[in-house]
Amino acid sequence: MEKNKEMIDVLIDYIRKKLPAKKQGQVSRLIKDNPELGDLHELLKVLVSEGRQAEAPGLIETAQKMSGRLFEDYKKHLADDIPGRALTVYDSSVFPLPDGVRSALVDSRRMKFKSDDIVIEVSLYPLSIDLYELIGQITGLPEGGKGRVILKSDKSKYTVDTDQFHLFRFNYLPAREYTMIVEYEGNRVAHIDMTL
Amino acid sequence: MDSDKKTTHSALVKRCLEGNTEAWRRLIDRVTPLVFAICRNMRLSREESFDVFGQVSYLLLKNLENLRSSGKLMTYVAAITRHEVLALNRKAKRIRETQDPILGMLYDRSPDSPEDVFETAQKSEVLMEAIVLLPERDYEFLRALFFDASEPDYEEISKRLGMPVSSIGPTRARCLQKLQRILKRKRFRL
Repeated sequence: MEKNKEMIDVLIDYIRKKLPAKKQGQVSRLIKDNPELGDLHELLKVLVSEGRQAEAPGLIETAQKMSGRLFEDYKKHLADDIPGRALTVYDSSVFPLPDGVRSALVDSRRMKFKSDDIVIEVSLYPLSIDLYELIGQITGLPEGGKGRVILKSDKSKYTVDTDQFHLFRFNYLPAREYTMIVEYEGNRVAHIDMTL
Repeated sequence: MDSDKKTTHSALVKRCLEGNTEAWRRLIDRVTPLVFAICRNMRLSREESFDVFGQVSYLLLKNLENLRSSGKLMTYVAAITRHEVLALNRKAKRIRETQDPILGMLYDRSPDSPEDVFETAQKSEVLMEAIVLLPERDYEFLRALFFDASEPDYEEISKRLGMPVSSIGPTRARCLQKLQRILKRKRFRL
């Protein structure tokens, strides 16, 4: 085992090209002559060259935040069983910002929600510190029919009809918690909880 | 060992279905490297990769009930990730071609050297699919050793995993042997 351990270190240094030229050549010949060592070298090569790229800094944390929101929506669904409850599948606000960049300087946010075959994509543009323009599109609805989007908060209610491509827009939305209801031909097809 | 893994996955899946956030967090921790390895090999941007990741997480959650006892969780994750990447690529290509067919050709994701890129992609995906089949502690150990972008030294790994520094070398050798056995058993070739 000890010998094997030392060989692993040598192979890793070989893969990283850290060995003196003469030793690189020796190891290269050893790998060619010994199939078992060749297999270990192949495995380590993939681990060393691909491994570090697999988990870029912040990747797991960002993925956890994104999927955490999805799961919170799922838990709400388990608790209240509201028909058409859409789950958050994308929210650009979870991406880490470069050092020194304040979140207020990021000029837009994209979110995506999914309820079975219906996908609601929303882009938010800040108009002032606490007012937003919201532009959205619904996919997965039959073409042509009448779509309607209702945004409700504890203080207000806004309603817009979608166009023929199921695009919609709300202007001057105050920053707060909302429930978005999507209707198609008068029937509720999606229920979304979101915080602006 | 495989039955242990199935039990672990099965227990995790069951707790996820009951709404256990910690179980979901652990499941996501396991599948994330595989999803992003596939996205990276297909040259997706960060935003595109997270788009795919969101879809995969959604489909995974929706189909957890069917995956509870199948032992095919990671195979399923790999399959839906590839499917979502291809769907995204088709959509992106359609948009580019609509805007300008010549520009669309220039920006086509076809790699410069298809065989090389395909081989690299295959190897990394094969590895990811095999590595998650290791017992959890071995998986965490190899992740810390090879995948962590912060490149922790042996002292840090020893603290993180609660093992003496002196046992890191032998543990590494044992974990690699286990990984080779999994690859052989699953007829994976690197």
